[in-house]
Amino acid sequence: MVHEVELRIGATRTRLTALDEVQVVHDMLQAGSVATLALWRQPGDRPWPETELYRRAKIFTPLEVAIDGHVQVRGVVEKVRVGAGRAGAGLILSYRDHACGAMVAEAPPSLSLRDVTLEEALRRLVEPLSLPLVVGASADDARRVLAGMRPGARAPTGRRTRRRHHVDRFRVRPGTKVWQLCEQLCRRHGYLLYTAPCESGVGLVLDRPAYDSDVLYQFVRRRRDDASSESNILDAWHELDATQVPTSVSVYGHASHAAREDARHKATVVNDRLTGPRVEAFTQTRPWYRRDPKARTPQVSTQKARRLIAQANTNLDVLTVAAQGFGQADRLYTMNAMARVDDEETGASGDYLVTQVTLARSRKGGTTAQLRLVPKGSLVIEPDEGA
Amino acid sequence: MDITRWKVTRAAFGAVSKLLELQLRGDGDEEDDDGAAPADDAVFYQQIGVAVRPVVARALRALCVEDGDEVVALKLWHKESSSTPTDLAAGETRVYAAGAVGVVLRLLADQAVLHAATILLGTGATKGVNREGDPILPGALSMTPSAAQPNTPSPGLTTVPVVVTYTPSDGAPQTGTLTFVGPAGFAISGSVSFTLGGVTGAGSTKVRAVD
Repeated sequence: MVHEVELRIGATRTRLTALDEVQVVHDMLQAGSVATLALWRQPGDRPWPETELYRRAKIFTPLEVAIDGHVQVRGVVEKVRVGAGRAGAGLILSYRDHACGAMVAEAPPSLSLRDVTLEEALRRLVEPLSLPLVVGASADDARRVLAGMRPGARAPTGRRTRRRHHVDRFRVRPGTKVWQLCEQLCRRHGYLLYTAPCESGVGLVLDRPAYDSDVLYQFVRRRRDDASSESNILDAWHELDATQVPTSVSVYGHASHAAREDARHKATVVNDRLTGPRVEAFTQTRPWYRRDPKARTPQVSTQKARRLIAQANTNLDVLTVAAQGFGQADRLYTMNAMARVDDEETGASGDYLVTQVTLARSRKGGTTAQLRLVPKGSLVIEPDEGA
Repeated sequence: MDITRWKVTRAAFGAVSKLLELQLRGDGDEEDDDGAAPADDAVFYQQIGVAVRPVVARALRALCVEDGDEVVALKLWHKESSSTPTDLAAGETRVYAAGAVGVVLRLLADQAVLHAATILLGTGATKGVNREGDPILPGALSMTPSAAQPNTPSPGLTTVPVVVTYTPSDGAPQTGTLTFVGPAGFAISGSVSFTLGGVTGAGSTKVRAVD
């Protein structure tokens, strides 16, 4: 399938399709990945500074990247690199979506986030930045837009709860990035926070791993009886990585300063992911010990311990797949979607969750997609007790 | 863990925490408390055995640590000169009222000095304490002769009773009679009356009071 990649740059959204290199990154676990666009001219061509595109491509110039007419990124140029060498003259634009402003800006310490809903707290954090961000954009709509589904099509993801959770107590310290605070708040309440283009700008999407959604993609690599192979995988690696994974986590906490009694507590949680057919029986222990000033009850300490284990397990079992093209069955690859994998070469088999998608096109590499997948159920978001 | 300075805008003891609970204002402009970083439920840990309830004023500050989402005050101070003593002698330890710097207990190298407009020894104390040289009120003494009378059983002699009366300052008069006997025609004239007085003697060489 041939995919059309279009850059729309500037306030007038001037279109440009002849891109030598383009990259789009979607990551539900780490927003703000920088992506790049590159154009090359041959030696002897007019220098880039004399071109209209160079004049338009300034720092903070708005841009959109669309694939097959579906907007994948809506953001701004943050870096412009122009130069020439033996390979030719290059103009490389690095960009992120509009939420990048929240990753650079810091929140004012005078901000009060107490006794407001989670969505209201996010709104108070991002509104002063004057970014075109839509707080609480629908995860279903985001997935539909990114996957290039037809308008009105219902992304089969199941129900999503409304975010009326109340923020109990949350202090803003000078020097803390707005995005970091938004993520902390969302994780406390059991949500992932990521961004995706929506109708009026960029949506801040509060979501949970879509394990209950329909499988959208299939990745197969099998040998047939006749020695030929059936495969839509260019490259795939399955990595089990326990280098930074504890066997248990203990969290120490203390009752609130204003409580009737001063009470210490400790919660220990064992990492039950370190079992299974691919894990040797292990008698050694690799415990972690943490003191958490926000763990004011034993229940919160337990949740903290579970969260630390879940974070450490994020890279425990990861499948990386590279495929030709930007999608399957008229759907572009998108994050927080389910894929079914059957790969004899790695032994990976079953349903996996897509956590990151990198779509890249270049003359050298062609049109490819690289996906990061984790086994269904392995990504766990632990909210604070009572959140 | 940051150590930060805050302005105190409210202080009251918490019924549940038993601690002095503070409303604080932090990072921001000095004249703009509403726009400053808020900490509405900070607590102040006082040294055991010492309790203070400060007068909230413009210059009252708290030195705090931020423990998670809570703010904990470790010290309070007040930089206005009228509120904080700076005239301590070398080696002196001083305890003073948070709202009145002149009410003070000074522990010096060779003496302990207590200053206050009123010093009460005991709850509800009302009686003044006497010092060396304070006047005493012993009362009044009078001697009044009665009329002369022929003596019995010697009518040739004359008896003159003299009534001695002592009236203490806080009690009923006490009366006694001296009887003088003299020859015929003997008489005592006049009377005397004394208001007794005096002052207390030298007191303790250790405990001293102002005049």
